[in-house]
Amino acid sequence: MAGPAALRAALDRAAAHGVTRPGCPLTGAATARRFLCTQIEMTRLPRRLTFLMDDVPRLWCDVAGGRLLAFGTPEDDRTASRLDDPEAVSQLSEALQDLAGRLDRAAKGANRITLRTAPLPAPAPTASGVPAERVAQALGLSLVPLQPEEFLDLFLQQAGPALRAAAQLSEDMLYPLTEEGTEMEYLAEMIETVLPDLDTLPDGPGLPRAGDRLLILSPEGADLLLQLSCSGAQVFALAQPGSEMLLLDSWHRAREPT
Amino acid sequence: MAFDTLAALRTEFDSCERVLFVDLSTRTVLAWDGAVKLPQERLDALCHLATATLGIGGIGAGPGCQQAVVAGATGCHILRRVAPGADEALCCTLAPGAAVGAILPRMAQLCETLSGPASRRQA
Repeated sequence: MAGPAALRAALDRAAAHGVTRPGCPLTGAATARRFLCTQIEMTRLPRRLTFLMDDVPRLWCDVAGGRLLAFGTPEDDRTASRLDDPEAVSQLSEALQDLAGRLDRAAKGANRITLRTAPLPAPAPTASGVPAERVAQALGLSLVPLQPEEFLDLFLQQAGPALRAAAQLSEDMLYPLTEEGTEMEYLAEMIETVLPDLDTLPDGPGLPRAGDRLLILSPEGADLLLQLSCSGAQVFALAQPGSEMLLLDSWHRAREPT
Repeated sequence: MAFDTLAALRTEFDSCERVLFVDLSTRTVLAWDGAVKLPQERLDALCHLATATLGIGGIGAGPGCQQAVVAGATGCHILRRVAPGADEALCCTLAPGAAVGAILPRMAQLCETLSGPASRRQA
């Protein structure tokens, strides 16, 4: 150890991510994109994340609170894009495409991606950054159509054979999406039962409260209950036991660009 | 509970990023395996997710749910009690587009093994 500063830096790194660098084998640009998004999503304290391809630093991202504040390449910091600057945010799509391009170029031909972290000073109070979800969307990991109605229609069409009843919840009102009957009444009862528990689910990387998600609950000896959130719209449905695969497939297909 | 069992499940599926074996009653991660090293708070968050989703009650015969699947932009989590009403659960984190249809029966099979008397003696 070179001195107190190096020791402090090592301790900070250990506190942030442990003493072993996170990393994973690269099987293509898609893996690198997923790895980058996951690391941004997971980073809460202000940190500079340096991504190494086969142990060579190729890209860095300044992150805090699960939001991307800036990124650049180690060779030329002058070309860094700062996303905490409101003017830069107006060209957000362009900047994120630049990020995707840099990442894909860096990942090309590499066998392993690893992460090195270093503490950053706290960002300015005005720094907003870009949420990991938005970065994931720009990198092709979250392809939700702009219109939630279109997405929900597509999902219901795909998952139709497995669904017994479906309804949209909006401002405490339930709007049936399938034929009304005893199953719709049962669904309404189930929603009333689970809503208090759903409201208290933890908000975190695994289950982002604000993001688009699909939650399938499989109770013992009963139909599946699913909750689907998309751009603020919320749909509940009852589905046949054992139809998890069809429901997930339908959700993924509905998220593909049309 | 052998760590090898979790590692075997994870390495069987390319898209499986990590597998956790958790105790829902004490919110404790008993064992885990993953390609990417995670800080403890991240593992605790996954354990908390399992406790919260599998604890949702009143919709079936048991006190909570037997299984929950949570899908988001960066992948999905499958959370499953080793047996109906059991406090132990398996949690798998999968990449987007994972072969969930193949992983679900494999997880169910492993849960049966983990809930067996021989496994309890080993734990």
